[in-house]
Amino acid sequence: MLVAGCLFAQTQSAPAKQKTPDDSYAGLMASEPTAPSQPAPRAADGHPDLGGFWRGDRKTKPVGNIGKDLPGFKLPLTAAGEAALKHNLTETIDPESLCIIGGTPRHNASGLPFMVLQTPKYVAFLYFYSYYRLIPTDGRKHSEDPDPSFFGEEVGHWEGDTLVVDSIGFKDDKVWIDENANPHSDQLHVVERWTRPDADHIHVETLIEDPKFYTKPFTYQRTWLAGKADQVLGEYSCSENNVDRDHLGPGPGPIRPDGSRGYGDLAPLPPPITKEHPLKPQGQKSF
Amino acid sequence: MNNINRYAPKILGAAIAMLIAASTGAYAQGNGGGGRLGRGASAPIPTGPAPHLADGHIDFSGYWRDDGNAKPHGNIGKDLPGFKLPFTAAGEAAHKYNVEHTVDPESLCLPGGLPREDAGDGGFQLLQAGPDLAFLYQYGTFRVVPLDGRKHSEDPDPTYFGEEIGSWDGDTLVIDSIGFKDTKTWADENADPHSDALHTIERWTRPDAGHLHLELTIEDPKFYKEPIHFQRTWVAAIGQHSREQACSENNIDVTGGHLGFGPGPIRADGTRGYDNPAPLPPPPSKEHPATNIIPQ
Repeated sequence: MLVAGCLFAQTQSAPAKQKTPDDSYAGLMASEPTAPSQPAPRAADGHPDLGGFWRGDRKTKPVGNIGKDLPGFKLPLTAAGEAALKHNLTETIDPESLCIIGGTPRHNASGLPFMVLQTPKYVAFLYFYSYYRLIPTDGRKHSEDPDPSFFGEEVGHWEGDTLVVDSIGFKDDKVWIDENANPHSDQLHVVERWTRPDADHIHVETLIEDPKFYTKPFTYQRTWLAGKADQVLGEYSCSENNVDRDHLGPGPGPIRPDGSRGYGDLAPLPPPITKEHPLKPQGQKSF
Repeated sequence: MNNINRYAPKILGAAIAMLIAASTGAYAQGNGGGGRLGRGASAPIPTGPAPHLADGHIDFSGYWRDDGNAKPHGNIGKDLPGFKLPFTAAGEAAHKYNVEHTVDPESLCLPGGLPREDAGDGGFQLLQAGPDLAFLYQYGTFRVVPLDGRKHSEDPDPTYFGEEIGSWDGDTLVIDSIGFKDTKTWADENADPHSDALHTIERWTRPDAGHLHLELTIEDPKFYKEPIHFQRTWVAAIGQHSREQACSENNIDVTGGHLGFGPGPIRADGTRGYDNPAPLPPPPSKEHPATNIIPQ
């Protein structure tokens, strides 16, 4: 989303519900707490509770690149993968900027916060752009031929204090694996290992396999920091006044000084809405 | 590289289900999302007392589907004599405007919001975890309701679901919502309007393991002369859960030109909606997979 440049425009219309300084654009990322961390809370069933509002740490660079942990950020693309990357870079508009679901593992590489709700049978990840994924943790197996989806068919189970999410059955169309327009095919297989080492941190170790587009499996790891205890993910209506359709070029856009990528906002934004200068609906009659 | 099985347009079964759902409005909303079994599925409804969480409160978690008794669907005036809503003059004008000048916002992938989602016939998932309750809907949208006893903020930013505050009244979960948008939103699937003065009070109960009940009060003094009362029951659908639905993927409602303004004609079964005049392609199968355009 940073990549798409649409964050700037869309954050204004959908801030988190509780107005605090952390809900500003700058509050999307968090800094390490200064006080010692408490142990991770546990759910009634004894598992660590991954629930909460989670924000990226500032050490994750570059944001939005699934090859972040590889030497030179170089992904082991097959020839087909190279062709798919080229296609993505030159022929496709960022699907997320068109309000198509980011999917797995893209959301794990995103700069945006997310929220987790954990119950004994399901874990839900709630994301910006008003999408969610719901992972059953009841020990079920993969189905034989899952319908392709952006998050894949996700099956979770606990290994000690680690939540393991195994996903297959992905789409191979209108999807980027990260915000850099790197590709994945319908052969994608993702294994996420989620832990909460203490109350302030959540961590994922991700194994990504896609023999069609990548010559070998690779890994991606990431840590997020806890938001405020009362922080709730606000409504975010991606398809409302989405200006990205009109000004985004193909691919992820130029690399910025901080390593993130994206097209700038070509059209100047209107001034923020205030009580003194309320929004004037366009094409809508007022009553 | 010639055999890269990729690149649009690939239409898959799930996408077709979504297309149908998106293009027919209220009618199709029982089919998508968690609807592999669909509305009216015959899975046995669980019996016994409602479960409680460790904190002593009723646990509303589960997948809930319509009980088949809420008729007509998608009408917040369902429980009023003649389904007649107590419009003010401004409300009448807003209703006329919605019917004559607006395309169903939900078909354009805008959140249905409140009270529309409470009147829809699609199933939904509830997850109750610690201080929060999440409603996971079809079309990929969700709402999170804090249950930690907080108060409304002084000037909430307008949203489709409003600023929602949960509290407990014994075994009843009360959700009080203000701070709504007043454009690009319908109060229900019939294009009934609401203004930014909307205030909804939802009183949710789980009288037993198998049933979820809502008593809803809708206040909107700008558009309605008196509060509207609406009640509804859902049944627990064992084995179902909410599923991914990418509303903006191949959404032919945006470009297809087949949706008119307002909610469309009333069908024989009391639902309303525009039907898709263009025949859909046959579902892809392993023997007849979707056709891909392979880039050169």
